[in-house]
Amino acid sequence: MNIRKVYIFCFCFLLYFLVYPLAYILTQSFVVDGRLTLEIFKNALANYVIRRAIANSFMLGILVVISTTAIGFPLAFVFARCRFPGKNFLRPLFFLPLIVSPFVGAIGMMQILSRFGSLNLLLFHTGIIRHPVSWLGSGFAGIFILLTLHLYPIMFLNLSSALNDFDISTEEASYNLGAGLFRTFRMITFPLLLPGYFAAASIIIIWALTDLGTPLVFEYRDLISVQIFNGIKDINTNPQGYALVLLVVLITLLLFMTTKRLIGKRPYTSGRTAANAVEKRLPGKKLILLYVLMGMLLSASLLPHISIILSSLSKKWFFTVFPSEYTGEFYRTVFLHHLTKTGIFNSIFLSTASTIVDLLMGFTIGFILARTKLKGRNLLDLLVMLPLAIPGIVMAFGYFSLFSNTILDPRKNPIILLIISYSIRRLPYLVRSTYSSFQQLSESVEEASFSLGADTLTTFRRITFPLVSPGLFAGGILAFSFSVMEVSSSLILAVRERHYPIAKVIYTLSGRVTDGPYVACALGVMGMILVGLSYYLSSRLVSKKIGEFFRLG
Amino acid sequence: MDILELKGISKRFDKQDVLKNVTFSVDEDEIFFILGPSGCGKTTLLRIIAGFTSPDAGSIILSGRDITRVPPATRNIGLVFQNYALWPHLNVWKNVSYGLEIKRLPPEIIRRKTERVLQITKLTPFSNQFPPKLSGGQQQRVALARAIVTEPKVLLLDEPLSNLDAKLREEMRDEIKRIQRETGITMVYVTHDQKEAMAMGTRIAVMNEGRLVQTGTPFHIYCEPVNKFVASFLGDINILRAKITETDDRYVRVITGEGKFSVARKTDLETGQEVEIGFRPENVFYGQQENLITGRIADIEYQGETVKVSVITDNKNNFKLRMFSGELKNIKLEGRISFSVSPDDLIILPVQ
Repeated sequence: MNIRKVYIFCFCFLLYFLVYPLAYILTQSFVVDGRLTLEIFKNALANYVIRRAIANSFMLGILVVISTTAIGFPLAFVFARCRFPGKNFLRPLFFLPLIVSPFVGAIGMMQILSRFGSLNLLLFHTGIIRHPVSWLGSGFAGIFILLTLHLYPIMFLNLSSALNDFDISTEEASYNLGAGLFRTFRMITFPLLLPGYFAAASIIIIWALTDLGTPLVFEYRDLISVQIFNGIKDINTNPQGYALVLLVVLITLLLFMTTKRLIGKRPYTSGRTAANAVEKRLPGKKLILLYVLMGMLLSASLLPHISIILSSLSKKWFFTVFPSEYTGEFYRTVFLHHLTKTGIFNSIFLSTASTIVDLLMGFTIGFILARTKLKGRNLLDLLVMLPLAIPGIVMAFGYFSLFSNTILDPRKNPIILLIISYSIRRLPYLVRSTYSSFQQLSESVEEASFSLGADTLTTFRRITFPLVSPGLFAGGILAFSFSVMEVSSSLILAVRERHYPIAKVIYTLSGRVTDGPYVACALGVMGMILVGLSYYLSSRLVSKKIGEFFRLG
Repeated sequence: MDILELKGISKRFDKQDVLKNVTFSVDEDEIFFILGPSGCGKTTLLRIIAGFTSPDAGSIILSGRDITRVPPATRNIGLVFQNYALWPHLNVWKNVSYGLEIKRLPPEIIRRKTERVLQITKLTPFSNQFPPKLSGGQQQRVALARAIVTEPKVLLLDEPLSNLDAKLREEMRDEIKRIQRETGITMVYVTHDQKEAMAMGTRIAVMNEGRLVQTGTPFHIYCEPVNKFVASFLGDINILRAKITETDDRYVRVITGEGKFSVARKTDLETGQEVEIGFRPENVFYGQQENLITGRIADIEYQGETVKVSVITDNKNNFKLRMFSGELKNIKLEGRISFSVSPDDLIILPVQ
């Protein structure tokens, strides 16, 4: 097979399914009746609802960055610099929030935080409050809590790996020259950690800006993402959706490029091995305080998990702190109900197909980037990483508007578009893991095989592939499970019930009055187990940290 | 007999000449060194011989066959990489037998050959281990074993000892020499370490800025360097500007800032020509009158078995002398010293 042809195919694929929809959004938001205009933006900004949504979304993004920083920074430092019993046991627990989508967690948390939910009842029974407290407020607070709990591990991961690469002697040199703790942190430590921090903060802010499932569950409308979602319904008559999507694209591109520049400028970690910190042993009192704080954080971050597990098992849960009766009935329903059956089947089919696409394209592109000198491969690199910066909601919106009334119209049959959008969304992970496997694999390892008389195919089969494949499969496993639980494109692109993937089934069920939410939670628990398992498996496959997958740039 | 011949090899990378018209030939059974500072193009040259980089001009002849355009896989040239490039997913045995399996030899022969090479490289006890578990020296041996097991016509070694510590490096020098003797394989060995080249090399080719400057036995290039670069790259040397005043059949007479000197004649030189003369710090004598230099001892650097003495003359010329530590009792800091250089030990170098 000719690598050049494959290269051109990858290029065309990305241009058509990634760049073209974005370009379409761009033209639709600036062109009215064939002329260039800012009218759509003016109209959008003149609308109070839109203005409020933009303001709220920004507020949410900033608040979540602040809260995740407040949690992630100290946590990363404690784990990197201190020694305490149970450290290796505790560390993975802090990643558990990642296995539950915030929108699934939200369904469970409603049980606990609602007006007559467990928390209020508990406080009421113990006499701390007399009237129920509105924890969720309009829903904004609920979204904020869920996103914080879900996203702080990303901050923790990024900072931990930055601290791992960190050469402690740079700090020691500062102390040696007479600088104090605070000054050293401000002048040395923080600037050196900045690229890692900024990368995490970017992911978090983009996530917060574009998360669609959580606000939908809380029925909170005043956010950009929900406005975009609602805008799709009357896309043909009201172009405001385009303006909002373009706004999101611009913000994310800005963050993406800044991160890339920051990371590109970071020569500190390469070259020589960093001197590791000597882990400090904590004195007894501080140790107890540390455990208490960690315990509080863990119980808060496991609340969504606990709540969906309890909901999925509860036969009766009204006006009591815990369910009054338990049942396994809802898990049976998952496999009997036509909607859940359809959802599971669709999701597995879609995710398998998109994972295959990802494995093939990810490996090929990773190879092209790492091992060939084909012209324009830098552009390919940029294209393939773009989905990291383009939120699912934008892609789905682009597909919906671009392919309406064509053969790919999602209103008729969204299967192809869903496969493509799932695979493009996960492609960066696959390309990155293959690319980094190739990079770690010194070219001389292949040359050694050539010099012993092996041809390209033999070298590939016996040397290159066995060494690169763990990274590839680790990426594939994650891509599969992420696709099964993919929210925004599933919500937007799947219109008819028989095309619903799991996420849309969960969302639909959560809105039904009878036992819908409980079945949704049961399905959510199963998804949680799938994602948890896949993290575990892929981290076993590649010894390097999963944190690599949560980086921009 | 020539086994490997390079004719007029040139290579440019990004508008920069990395190799300029490099020509040399390697004899069968020798350890041929390519010696030069980093960035002189020696690794590129090695990769061209191995076939991983193609030259812009010139040709490579192996056993009489032009292999310039032959792919690396069919050249039958072994290569030991600087970073070893061992395959971490294969154990020592598999790493070593790989090349034989590629040749589709019968299993029995593969087993025999692999066993023998593991024996020669003293790796037999480690045959089931995986490379990441081995020490630096052991990894080095695996890399060697893997490269020689297929009995290539020529074995290329790219700074193979640069990742080892000083003591291990000396051990491995002897090991490689022993393996060369036992297998009779021709080696082309690239390094920037002149001690390694002189200790192991049958012949040395000195490279600088993409050019081959001088080729010869270690003794020859140390004692008769063609220019200042070769002279100083191989060891310390004292240099003095000079002008030729007289020549006869046996001697060249020169005048320098330190007076008149006689140099044993080796090349065609004309009276009046500007040159430089040089001598090695260890080639000095005390208590003789010919080619005499006198000065003040400015520094004494104790180096164990020898001492490095720095002498500054009244004309402000600085000379380095090396003497055995036993002679320390005869000199003292700031004292006067006179020494002479034999006409045979003086080297005439062209002015650059």
